[in-house]
Amino acid sequence: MRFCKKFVTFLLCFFYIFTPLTTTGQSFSAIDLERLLRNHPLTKSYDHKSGRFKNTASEIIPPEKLSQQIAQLESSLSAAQAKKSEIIRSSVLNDFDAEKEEQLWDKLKTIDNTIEKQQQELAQKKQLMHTDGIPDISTVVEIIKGILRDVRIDYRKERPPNSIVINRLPRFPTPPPTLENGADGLLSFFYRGDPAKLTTYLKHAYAISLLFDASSSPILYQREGD
Amino acid sequence: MQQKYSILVVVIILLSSLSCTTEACSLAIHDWKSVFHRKLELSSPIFPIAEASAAWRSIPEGPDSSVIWISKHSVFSYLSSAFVPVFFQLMSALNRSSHIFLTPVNLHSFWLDHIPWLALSSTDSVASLAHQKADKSFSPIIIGSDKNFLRIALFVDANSDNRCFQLVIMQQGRIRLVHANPAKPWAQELQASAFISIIFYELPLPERIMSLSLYPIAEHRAFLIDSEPLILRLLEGGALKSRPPSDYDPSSFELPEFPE
Repeated sequence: MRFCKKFVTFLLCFFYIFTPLTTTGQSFSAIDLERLLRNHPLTKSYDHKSGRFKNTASEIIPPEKLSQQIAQLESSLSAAQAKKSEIIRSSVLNDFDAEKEEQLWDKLKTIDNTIEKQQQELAQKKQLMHTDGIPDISTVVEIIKGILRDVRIDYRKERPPNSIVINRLPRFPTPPPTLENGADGLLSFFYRGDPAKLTTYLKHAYAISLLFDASSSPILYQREGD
Repeated sequence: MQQKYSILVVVIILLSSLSCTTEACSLAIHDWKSVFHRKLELSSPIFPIAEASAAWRSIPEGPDSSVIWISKHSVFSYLSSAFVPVFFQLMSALNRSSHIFLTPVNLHSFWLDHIPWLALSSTDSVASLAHQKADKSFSPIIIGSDKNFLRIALFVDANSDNRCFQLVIMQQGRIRLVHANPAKPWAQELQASAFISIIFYELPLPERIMSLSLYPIAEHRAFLIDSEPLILRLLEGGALKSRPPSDYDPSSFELPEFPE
């Protein structure tokens, strides 16, 4: 009987210690957000001086260069339209070969696609002339959104399904901020539920922000379905 | 001729009485679920509305004679081609009316409302016919329609306790058009679609129609009926889910996705 009691206690202790580890261990995974961001090709093209991404729609173009580009595009567009007219004149109006008709329509579709792209590009460049070649900040935001989208796809490949993703912990140990008059941290507010604790904590926001500045890799919490 | 215009006036007055100046359906949030969908193969479009819009966009100056429309025509398409100018006269007249929101495009120089359409069941292709017409003194626009489908779909709005419906009838097909004008020749192939959408509450009765729209009229979706009083009444009664004013979404006018 005594042996039985000891055995049951042993089993309870065993499950108490090991079961939470085995269940929670499967639902967490770590990623290195900084590495993923640094490895993205667009991050590499970021120009710190201008705050824009090189060779993208966000890049600042000097007005003189922009004028040249518009002239080139207009010339190239006129050439494409003239080429299309010439094809229609020679292969439809003046001479027509029924056996080559499908090839003719394919050729026209290719030229139409080129013309459409050039027209869109020309409209964008002309719009840019009104702002002296400085694209709207939304172009930068769109690129950043694209980078984040790619990074999310990358880290989803690396993580097991149904897991909570935690970013790699800060590279350098960061000491907790020293609060005046022995004030407690935010944790004590959550434990004690005393609003006065939160007020005291917020008074030291300047010191707390230093903690985040010193952390090179913030912790990222990913809820399932986000 | 006088009789034709009197019919036109009656139709304008009728539609004016039903229409409003705003796109009222942006006031509600719909969650469309497909209830019914059929895809049917057609020998030719029932009405060449997508063809007309494509021709108008590509050749704004229009033909100097007529539009020749080639397809495997049915009785419907033969009949409908005769009504193309009348239909666009009606659209131009509605657009001029200050009571109706139709399209932001100015239809002042809209050649579709006076150029006749000739439906032709020809074995010749569009390009071949354009070649034959090229040496003539006039230069028509030749349009070919093939690979045509008709889609009929009924959607129900889950946000309205399944009481608000949207019926969509859509034509899809391939269009090839050639303008046999030696001075300014034009040829283009494109995939086109045209639709009519009716959004109604419970039953498709005139007093329960929230909106009736057509696409494309000069490349735009035209709202012939957009009943703001009905929508406001349904929103106030909680029959429809209202959209917060700050949450205006231009895509609220897009069609729901069709099932494959």
